[in-house]
Amino acid sequence: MPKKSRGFGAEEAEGDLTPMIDMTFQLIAFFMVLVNFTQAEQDARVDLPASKLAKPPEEQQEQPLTIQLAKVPGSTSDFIALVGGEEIQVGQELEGILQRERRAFGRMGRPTKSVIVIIRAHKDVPTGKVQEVIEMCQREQFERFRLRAKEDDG
Amino acid sequence: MKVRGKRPSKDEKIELQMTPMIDIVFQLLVFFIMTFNVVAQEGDFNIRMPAVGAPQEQLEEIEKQTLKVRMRSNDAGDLIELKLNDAVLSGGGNPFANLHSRILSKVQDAGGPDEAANLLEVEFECDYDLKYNNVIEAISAVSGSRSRDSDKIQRLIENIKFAPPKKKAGS
Repeated sequence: MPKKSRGFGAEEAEGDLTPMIDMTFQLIAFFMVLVNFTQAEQDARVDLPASKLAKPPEEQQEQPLTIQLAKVPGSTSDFIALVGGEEIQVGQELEGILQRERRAFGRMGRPTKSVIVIIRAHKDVPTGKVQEVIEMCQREQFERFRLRAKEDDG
Repeated sequence: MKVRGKRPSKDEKIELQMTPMIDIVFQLLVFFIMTFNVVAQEGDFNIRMPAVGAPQEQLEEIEKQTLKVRMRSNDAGDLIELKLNDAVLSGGGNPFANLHSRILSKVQDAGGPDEAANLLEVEFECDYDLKYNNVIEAISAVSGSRSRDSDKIQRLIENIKFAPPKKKAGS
């Protein structure tokens, strides 16, 4: 960093930038390695229940159907379903979306029996609500369900 | 930057312009810091829930012994009773730890986890209002355990299903 000298034009003090650049590059490398862009299926309103057995699946799942049950902010007892970015009530609206998903999977040549349904439900959701969602999926011939939990390190 | 063909004299000092590089580097750093968030690892529990009107495959399976886990809740959704078949496990201590030890002994009686996979299944019957984290805790207790020192998971019973949902009281 050049420093303006008073009176003596020939004198010039320069700060050594090398350690700062080293550190900055290390920080960039650290954040680049840890950055995670695959959060399309996550929602801040869904606080998953914790489990010591929850480990990420080893094999990649072939395009699952993810249904989230999220808590309505500011409410203790209201929950909404989230499917592919759409916010809906668990009821007829969800049934309609499941029928649409079933047709979409059919067009892709995937029978609903082979499709994995991942349920990401908030820890305080009434279990009956989760079962209602499973029951609706069953009516559309979905059979393979996975209940998602977050890893509990404690 | 060095200009080809023109050799600098000894007194001439070539200075690299660091400012644009530092600008970009800091912008990158700020971008990564802003987009960074620590996400807890997530895992799944498989549950077997055949579709409505598809019982053909079940008939071919060997008859499995079904262990019934019954969970009752109060209006607030908190667990008030946990039963395995007819045995009440929520009398004292941690009900899920009690459930785990009961399941462990059932699996040992069956001859180990591999045999238990063919012989045993667990059916959960829960009250409508029961908070979902209780179900996950019960499923964890039934599915296995992770040892503290190693990361190894000891599997118990992974054939899990739900009894038909009970309707909400008053609806």
